[in-house]
Formats: sequence, C-alpha cells, structure tokens
Amino acid sequence: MAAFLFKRVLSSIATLFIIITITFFLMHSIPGGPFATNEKLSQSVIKAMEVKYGLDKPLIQQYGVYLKNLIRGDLGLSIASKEGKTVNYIIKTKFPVSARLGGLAIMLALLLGLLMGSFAALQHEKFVDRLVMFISTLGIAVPGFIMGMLLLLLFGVSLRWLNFIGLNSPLDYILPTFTLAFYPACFIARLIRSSLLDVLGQDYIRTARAKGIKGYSILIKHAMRNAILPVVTYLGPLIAYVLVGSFVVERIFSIPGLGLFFVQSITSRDYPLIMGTTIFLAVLIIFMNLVVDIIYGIIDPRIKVK
Amino acid sequence: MNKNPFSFQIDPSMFEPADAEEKKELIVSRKSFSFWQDVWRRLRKNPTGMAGLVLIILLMFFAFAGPLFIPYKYDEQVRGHENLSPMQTPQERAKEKEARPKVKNRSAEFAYDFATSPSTAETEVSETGERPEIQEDFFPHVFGTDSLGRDNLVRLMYGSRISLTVGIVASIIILIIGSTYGAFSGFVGGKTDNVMMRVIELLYAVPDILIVILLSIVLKEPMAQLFARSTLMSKLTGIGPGLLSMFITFTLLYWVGMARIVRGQVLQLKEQEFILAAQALGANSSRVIFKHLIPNCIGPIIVTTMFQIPTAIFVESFLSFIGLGISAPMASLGSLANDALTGIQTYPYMLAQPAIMIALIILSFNLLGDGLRDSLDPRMKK
Repeated sequence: MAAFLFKRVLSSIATLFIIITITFFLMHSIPGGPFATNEKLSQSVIKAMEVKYGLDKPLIQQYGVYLKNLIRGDLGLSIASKEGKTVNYIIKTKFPVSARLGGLAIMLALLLGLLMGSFAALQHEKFVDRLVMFISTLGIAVPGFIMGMLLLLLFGVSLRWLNFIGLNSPLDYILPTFTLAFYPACFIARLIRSSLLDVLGQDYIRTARAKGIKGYSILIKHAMRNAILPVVTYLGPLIAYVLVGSFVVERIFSIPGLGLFFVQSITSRDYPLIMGTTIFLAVLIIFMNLVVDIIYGIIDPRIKVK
Repeated sequence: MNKNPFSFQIDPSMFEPADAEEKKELIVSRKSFSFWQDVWRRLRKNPTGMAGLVLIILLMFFAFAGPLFIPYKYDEQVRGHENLSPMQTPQERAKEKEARPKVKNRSAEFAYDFATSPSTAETEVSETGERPEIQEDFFPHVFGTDSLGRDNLVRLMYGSRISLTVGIVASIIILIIGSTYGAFSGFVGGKTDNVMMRVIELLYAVPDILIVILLSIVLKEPMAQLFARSTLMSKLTGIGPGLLSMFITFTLLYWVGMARIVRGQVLQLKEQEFILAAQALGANSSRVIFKHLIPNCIGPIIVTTMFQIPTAIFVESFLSFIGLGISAPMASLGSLANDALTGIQTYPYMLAQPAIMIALIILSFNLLGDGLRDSLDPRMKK
C-alpha cells in the first residue's frame, strides 16, 4: 500500500508540475502582454505596470518567481480588478459558491444514479428498465449545458415556476443543481445497472437467496458492495466534470461563483487570474483523483498491490 | 406409370440425372458479402443506428444546402426587420408594439445582463421613433430575426455547418494522429512503447477542458493576426481564425484516447500468424502497419471516431458558449446560444433553436455510433 501510495503521489506531483509549466508558458506566449489592448494607457504607464507585475524580467526568471510564490500558495495579483485584489482572495470568496453547488450536484447525481440504476437492474427487461435506459441514453447524448438551457426555458421562462437568476433562495438551487447532476446521474445509472446485473447473476447471491435473506438486504449488503466499485472509479471524472461544468451552468443561471468569474476573466484578459484559477482547479481535480484512487484501494483489497 | 401410394414400387423418376438447374439449387450458399456489405446489412437492421444516419443526412442537408434556399446571408442585416418572432412580418410587429406601448418597461423589468449585450430595449425605441420604410414583400423569416435584423434560420444553418465541420474535421485529424501514434507505439513495443505510453498517461491526467480553454485564449490573437496579414490563409481555408485554433487544440489534446485503443488492438494483432507471414515475405514495417494492422482494427477505430465527433461538437459549442472560439459575425451554435441568453425573457425561442439543434446533432451521431458499434463487431454486442 505504501509503495502504491508513494508512486501515485509522485505521479500526481509530476502531472501538476507539467500543468503549471504549460499554463505559465502558454499565458506568457501571448503577444503584447496583458496591457497591450488597453489603449488608454501610455507607453510609460505600461512600462511601470510591467515593472510592478514583474513582467520586465526574463521569462525564465518570471517562471522561477511564479513557482516560488506558488509553493507558498500565492497565486499573484489580479490585473483586471481595480483594487488590486489577489487571486487567492478572489478564489476564496468565489469558490465556496461553486463548491456548494458542485457538492449538491455530486450528491444528487449519486443518489439519482444509484436509484435509477438499481431499479433498472432489479426490473431487468421490464418497463422501468426500458425507461431508465431511454432516459440515460438521452441524458448522455445531450450535453449538460443544453439540458440546462432547455430546463431554463421550460421551468423558468414558459412555466415561470422557478426563478433562474442568481442563488437567492433555496429553491434557486433546483435548476442549476439538476443541470449539473443530470449527465453524471445518467452515467452512474448505466454503470450501476450493468455491474449490478453482472453481480446479481453470481453464485454468492444465489447462495444468499437460498439461505432466505430478504431481497433488499441482499441488494444492499451483498450485491451493492461489489457493484458500486465502478462508481467509485467514476468519482474522479465526476468531480472534474462538475468543476468544469460550473463554467457554463453559472453563466446560464447567473450564479456569482468561480466559474462565472473565470469566464469573465477570459474576456477581460486577466492573465494572472486565468492562470491562478486554472492551476487551482487542476490541483483540485488531481488531488481528488488521488483521493479516489486511495479510497478505491481501501474498498477493493484485490487491487492493493499492483 | 402405375402409382399406388401404398406399394413399395420405387419411382424411377427419382433416379433420373439432375439437370443443371436442379444442381444449382442444391448448392446451399448465400451470396458472399464483402466486409462493408456485411456491416451495411447489419446496420440496416438496427433501427436506432438507421435513425441516427437518416437524421445526420437531414442535418447535413439543412446545414450545407439549406442556405442556398434562403435569400439572406448570415451577416446580412435587414433594416426594419429587427427582433421579429418566427414568421412575423415587420407590420405585425409594429402593430403589436403600438398595442403594447410598455415594451421598454417590460424588458427593463426583466433586465438580464444588458450591460454586455447590445441593449434590445433601446434599439426598439429608436426604431419606432424613426419608423424606417419597410419592404412590402420579402422572404418570410421562418425562425424570426435577431436584434440586428439578421435571419435566424440562416444563422442557425451556418452555425450547424460550423459545428458539423468542426466535429468531422477534428475527428479525422484525431483519427490520423491517434492511430498512427498508437499503431507505432504498439508495433515497436519495448522501451519506445514505454516512453510513448508515459506521454499518453501524462496527457490523460491533465484536465483537458482547462488546457483547451487556455489554448483557445492563447491562440485567438496570433490566429487573428495571421488571417489579417495574409489573404491566402483565409481563402485557403475559408474557415476563419476561430476554427483553425479550434482544430489545433483538438489535435494537441484529443488524440490520446484513439492512440490507446489502436495500441491495444495492435498489441493483440501483431502476435498473430498472418503478420509473421507478411514479415517472412519481406514486408517492411510501414507496410505491415498500414496494410495489415490498421485494416484489421478498422472497426474500433471507426467506432471511436464516431463517438469523437459528438465530443468535438460539444467542446466547440462549449467554447463558443463561454465566448471563445468562433468570432462574430460568423455564428456557431454555441455563440448563438450565448447571444440568446441575454434576451431570454423576451425571445426564448432564440435560445431554444440552437439548443435543440446541438442536442439533435449530438444525439444523431451518438445513435449512429451505437449502431455502427453493433454492426461492425457483432461480438461486442451485450
């Protein structure tokens, strides 16, 4: 386990380093720099600004400074915000909104997916199964943000049941959460259905049944334990999906989270903010993948030594 | 001939020599099909796959031939035709506005991020003040017009064209790069394979959308400059800087999955006897790869490409939706949806049109992909 852990942590750090390097050099290869498009600034002001943000030094030196700051957890200053806010501050204030929404979405996706998948597997080849498969095929084929727009049009604009701007009351969470959760829920439902069908056909389930154990107890105590493994592996991509999905969902529903801010920083060419957010999200995704891998090792002892 | 059904007398006609016709009937064989005929036969029996195929053909027709039948261009702004709802004429709209003079207040009440958009409320007011002369007969705006008086239907067609082009071209590029890389890696094996797979693993671990976004930001400026400088570029490709940078990002990142699949196939195939036979007959590596290995793993390659197309279309519309990708006045489905979001209360159909279009395109490719998977390799069917 220790060797596996060590190797896994090491490769995560390597990936992270590569992402940071790619991000840094990509953002600094943009011709003209961040102040070039601002026509109001005179040459001398631009010079002064470049000195202030350390952009006058050689690229390698800037890279070194950036890395050193990163290790201390400092992502630099946001250029577009006039009060000179730090990127850390922006992430700290904006991310909780996204995290709350994302967390809710992940929980909803797991709940819906598990329910749909296990019902489908138990009612194999019957109406419920067909219905679940139909819904999940549709849910996987139609991108999440399109689903969000259609939901918005239906419940927000046509029926006017739900408010769809911002997150001011608990009811406002319904549409964005559902939008984010729909695709992963369908995916999980399919995963659970196929693995549960596989598990339910095995001998130990028949043995359990022969011993007279009740249906739901077999499902939860015996079958689910094995059937849930593929879902655990999917958790990593799920978290990544929810984080990236927040870009569009927050744009659609005008939610003041990190995703919306990131999209806005693209248009305002706030390079430190773009870099900082990218690196922050990448760290989060890689870290979560690592955690999921470790959890997987604990849940399934068969793959421990590899 | 005396025929008593109960007698044991043998009917001599049964012993007559068979003629050519009869002989032919005896040989039980079905017409031999080539691999593709077989695939086509199986696909035709697959209702969802066929539905996908028919839908794709219809969508292609809509996107590529559609604009020929509409007398408007995607960037043509018809004065006096602003903000028409589907099938509405400017006269009807003017009447509607007179009947409801509170239009401005109404849209201000539901103000939705008007700061970033050309304010629809203001244009309406100035339009009623001037009352520009309106042509009497014109081609109907089947899907209405946008705030600049551009025909929605034509813009939707062009948007679908962009999406389909991106999906198909990007997938072909991915197909070429991915399968070459994978085939080479699997074929050579050993240390080379190890190193090449490490590269793939690294790229796999990178959160791709983030890097795609970064690349699109970075490529946007230089591409625009490149196109501005040389007219040859824009004539050559006819696609504009947004699309080109899109292709570059796709080629850099998305070939990984394809490479993995092809490598796995090649590893399996290269141990088989027919490869040994080819090598014994003096075929060099490139001949073995291109003539023997790749044709034999064509099934998984096609299926992966089929599923790559909707992914590419999704990423394109995602990027255009958050403001990267295609630049105005060209429209893509994602940017149409993004533009429509600003006026969603008053013109919900403008969001519904591109949204439903994207859903249809992606759904149809997924359906066809499913059908092809089943018909290319019937053993894979669950």
